[in-house]
Amino acid sequence: MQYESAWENVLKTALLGTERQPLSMAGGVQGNGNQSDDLGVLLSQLNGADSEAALLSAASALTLYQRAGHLPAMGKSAVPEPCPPDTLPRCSAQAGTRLAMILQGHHRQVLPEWLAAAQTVGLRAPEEVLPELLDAGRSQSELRAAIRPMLGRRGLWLAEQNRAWKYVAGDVEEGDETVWETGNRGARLLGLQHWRGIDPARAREMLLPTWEKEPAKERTDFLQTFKVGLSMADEPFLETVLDDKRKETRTVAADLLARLPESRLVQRMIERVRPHIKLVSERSLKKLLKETHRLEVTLPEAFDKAMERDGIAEKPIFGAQRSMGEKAWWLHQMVALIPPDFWCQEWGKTPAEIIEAANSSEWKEALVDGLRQAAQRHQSVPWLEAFLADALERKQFSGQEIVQGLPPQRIEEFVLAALASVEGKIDNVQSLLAVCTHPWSEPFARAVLQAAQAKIADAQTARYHWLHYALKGYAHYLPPTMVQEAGSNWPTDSPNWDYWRPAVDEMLGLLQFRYEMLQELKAPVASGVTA
Amino acid sequence: MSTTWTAEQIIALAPDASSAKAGKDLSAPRKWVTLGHSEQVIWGECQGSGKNPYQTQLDMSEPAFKCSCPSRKFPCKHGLGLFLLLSSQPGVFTQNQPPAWVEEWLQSRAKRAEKAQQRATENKDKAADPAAQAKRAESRQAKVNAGLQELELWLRDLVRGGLAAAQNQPYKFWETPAARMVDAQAPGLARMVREMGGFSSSGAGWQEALLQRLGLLYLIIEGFKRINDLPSETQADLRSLIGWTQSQEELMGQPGVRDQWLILGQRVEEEERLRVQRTWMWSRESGRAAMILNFAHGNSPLETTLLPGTAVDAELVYFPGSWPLRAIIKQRFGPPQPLGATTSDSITDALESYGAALALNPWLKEMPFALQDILVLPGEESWTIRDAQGQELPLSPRFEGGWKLLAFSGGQPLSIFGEWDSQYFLPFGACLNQKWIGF
Repeated sequence: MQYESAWENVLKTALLGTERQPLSMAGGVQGNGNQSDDLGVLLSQLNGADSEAALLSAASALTLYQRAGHLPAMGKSAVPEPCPPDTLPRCSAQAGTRLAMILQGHHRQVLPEWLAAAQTVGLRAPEEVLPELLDAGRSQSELRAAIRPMLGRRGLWLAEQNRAWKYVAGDVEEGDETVWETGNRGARLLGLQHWRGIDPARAREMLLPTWEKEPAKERTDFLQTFKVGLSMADEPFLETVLDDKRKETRTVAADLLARLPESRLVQRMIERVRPHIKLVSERSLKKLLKETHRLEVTLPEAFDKAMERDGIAEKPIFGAQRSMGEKAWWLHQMVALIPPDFWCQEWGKTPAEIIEAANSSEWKEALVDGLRQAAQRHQSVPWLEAFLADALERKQFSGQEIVQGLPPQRIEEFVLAALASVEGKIDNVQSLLAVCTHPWSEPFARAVLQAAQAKIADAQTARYHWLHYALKGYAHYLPPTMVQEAGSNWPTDSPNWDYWRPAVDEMLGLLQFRYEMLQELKAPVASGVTA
Repeated sequence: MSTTWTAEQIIALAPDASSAKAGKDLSAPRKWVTLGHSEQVIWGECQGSGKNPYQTQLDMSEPAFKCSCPSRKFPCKHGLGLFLLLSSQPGVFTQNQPPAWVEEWLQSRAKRAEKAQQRATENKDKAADPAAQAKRAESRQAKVNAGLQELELWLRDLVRGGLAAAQNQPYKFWETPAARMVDAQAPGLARMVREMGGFSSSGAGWQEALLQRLGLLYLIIEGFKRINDLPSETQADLRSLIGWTQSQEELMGQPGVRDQWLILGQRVEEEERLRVQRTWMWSRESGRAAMILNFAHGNSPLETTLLPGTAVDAELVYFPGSWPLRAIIKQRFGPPQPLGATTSDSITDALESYGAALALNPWLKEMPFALQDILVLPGEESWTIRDAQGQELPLSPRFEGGWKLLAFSGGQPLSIFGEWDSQYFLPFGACLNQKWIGF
């Protein structure tokens, strides 16, 4: 090929310099034998006597030759099958723009809300936003379940072609057990989760034969799936896992067994803790001869292997745990593991009475908190209610009263009662509001806003107040339908209004954003056929 | 009052992401103390952090923005917010007599437009002291001549000593001749020389790139020696390369090409304190490509508001040259229209045009291509595009929109628009079933 050799020759000469190596005419530039093409003719006309000029001229001619003469390659590789048309309707263009904005970082925390709302209406994401959406699922695995329904056929088709998005393909065909044999780790985990939801026994039978051979990290993950559909049928297996080599796995097994009141672990724990706590009742003149109760505690002496096997940690970690003292810490854990109704049966007292007794004990913190954790673990409603009533009576709210499992309605009822008990002073319910992370009802939202407005109107309110930072967070839970109402009644005449206005504006801005976002998802959309 | 602008298109006008966000935040009625409209103009007053509200207004015919806030960005967040509010809730704008501050602005705009027209016609007629003009032109010609002679000597020295030696030269080695070119009133050449300083660190194959550039520089020098014997279009090419600027006012006075121009791509590049905006358009009737260049220094606004993905009835005037590409908009007739069908070529035909263009203007590097029936093929190392005849072009490694393009195409053949630089294709837009997206 004349061009190749000519260019190589010219380049070599240029690199070395014409001083060191004059441009070789015989080589590939001049007189290369093939003067029948235009390039050859042109090159042969260069003045060999002037090396630099000849070199530069040759360089420009060859550059042009190369640029103008580019021939496209013939495509050889297989072409991916085009994607079949989507059946799910695409969300509107405005909704799509908003999704892109959210994914790029604007109010990014509302992404789960957007995804859930879109899914409820049965919409999918627009094609152009799919890469960003898929990337979000890659880096944040907790979003994947919400992202999948948004992908439509186009998203699945796209994900197949990029290794970075293979998590999407981890999706299990419903009911396909062969995934357990042959699938990758992600697929097997999903499969196990799926089966625990439908037929826990089947899932357990799938896991048992391969249990020994599973790598340690995966055992922990697989064991976590037992949280769903947990029953006494799982108990024998879980009891054996208490002897597992890896601490993490043992901890998960102990936690699971603790949720089964009839498990051997719980029975052992009951026997272990029983001798240490006694309920003492007395009547004293001081209390006007009313019967009062007190819990008397003898701390456990030593820590033994059996305790460790059953999931009790020897060394406290956090400050609150350490301040109780090591032995009380063990006692606390034991109490936290057994169903609190046991105490009711043991002593024939109501939860409220027992809580009162624990409050009067020398080891108040260890006992009360232990009982509370037990109440949450075993979802014992009478106990949960008793804790709520106790907090209301003492008008002290730590936020721990609101436990997972309490229905939102009940939470709102409680918080409103708490607010009323402190004459609407929002400071006292700060920690309660911080854990109200469900979508607020309108009456609840109204009450909170009123309390906030009262606080701001108060001239005594100091700067750098916690509410200033909390307001923006509330915007996530206020009902978007209240967007107009939420903007009114703010104490703009208050002396400190200049300080509060940016925070209120930010809150209203986010609320407005959520409102518009949800409105856009309601709007009628283009048909599902890809345009 | 009608408007064809969607929220998406309005947000695209924002100078950066934070302005877009701020603009969205201001698109709520409660942020505006007054709002009104009248024929082609809308206005509003927005309470800012100062005592008096900011007065913002929009002339819908272009659109043109004006706001009394101190922001240097353009359009400012108030302008964006007002525009967005108009597109989402036109009802909140009450029909009214424009207040004094709006009337003022409209009048000054009308006056400015008048004056610009006047100046354009004046310049055409003006003899403008021909003696002084001729003297200046002569002086520049002499300086450029001298400069090019110097450059030629420098080039010869360079190839005599060899490019391998050039790799270890300090930056000053390139900066000094570049500065000399500036002194010689040849800023275009100065840029070409200065850029070579960066080649040696640009990766493999830098020696070839350097030699190519040197060859083309030499071609300019040789061409300029014979410039009077060359066709006038090539003369224009040379002058433009060396750094003579074309007077835009002069261009405005010339007849242009009127057509429905399809705006198929737009890209803004930041270079230090300068923003360069390129907009690529194709004419519907003749299928001719045109590129509009706009500049903005520092924070000042980018002048026009051409909306990619739309068509506009306009008259364009091309800068002179042997293969005209750069143009300016002489006049617009009407608001943006939907795109409709786009004109495009096969890869072979496009490459043939590229070759033909190079034959006319050897210094041409990038040329816009409009290609049809293209399949997008992802690859491990690099992506390619393939047309209906099975021919392929490689996509530039600088292209970041591959997945977006693939998602958009769904594996279907589509039209794709971008720049070919003799090595890679860099897309700036694509169209499928009359829906356009940009990169």
